[in-house]
Amino acid sequence: MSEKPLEVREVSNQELQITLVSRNELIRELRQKVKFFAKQQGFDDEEVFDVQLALNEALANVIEHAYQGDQNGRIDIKFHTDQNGDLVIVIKDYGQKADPECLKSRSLDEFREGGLGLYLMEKLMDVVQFDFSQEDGTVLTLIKRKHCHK
Amino acid sequence: MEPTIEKQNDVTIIRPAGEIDTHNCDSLKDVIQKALKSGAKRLLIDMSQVSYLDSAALGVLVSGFKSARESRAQFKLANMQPPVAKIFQLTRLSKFFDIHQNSDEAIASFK
Repeated sequence: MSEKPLEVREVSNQELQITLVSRNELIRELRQKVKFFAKQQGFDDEEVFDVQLALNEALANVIEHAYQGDQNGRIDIKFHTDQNGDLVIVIKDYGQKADPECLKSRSLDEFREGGLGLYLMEKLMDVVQFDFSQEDGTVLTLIKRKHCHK
Repeated sequence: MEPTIEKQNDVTIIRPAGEIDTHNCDSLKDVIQKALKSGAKRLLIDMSQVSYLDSAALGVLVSGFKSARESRAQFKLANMQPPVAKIFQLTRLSKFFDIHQNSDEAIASFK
């Protein structure tokens, strides 16, 4: 990866590739990028908000858990729309893999801090899929169907 | 943007602004903790200028509420914009917090 903390490659009107380092300060910029992309693809304001928050939570989890606060980890992201016009976000990290058994949303009856990231992703997106089969790191795929409010 | 603080009689009103996320939510946490340490017993978080928050920011409000309870202080939220209110509903945190439509209603409800 180059020295830049965030690199964007516009592959086509329907595909954007981004590489960033694992820093929380960049999450805001990623929210703006996905907002712009999703609006461009015809998603409405509520859908765009859902996608922004889900991406935010996914990146915060990667930085906190996969890279455990290391600010130099690499994260590759792809935004694209599939043949149905649905928005697909693929996030690849090269950090520590999570134990799939631990990937469960917590009970909402508990009034406490933390543990809501995965729950929000599942609630806001139509597909949340982890792939732990990579040699290094994890691939997370998030899909938002167009105009299919949950 | 740093949260602002205003005193209206015995109510301490904290106004965070903009997008609050994992990167900048500590400033809100600090302001709430400082207010409680300085003896505030009636705390109102005016959310009117908050356009976005993530789960880390929600955590700051949960910890603020708990700290207030430990200090025997009242902790209320008001003026949530629809996207922010949606996050409270999705996470069902709205059932734990004392949430009001506007500041006047919240201030009038302090015991």
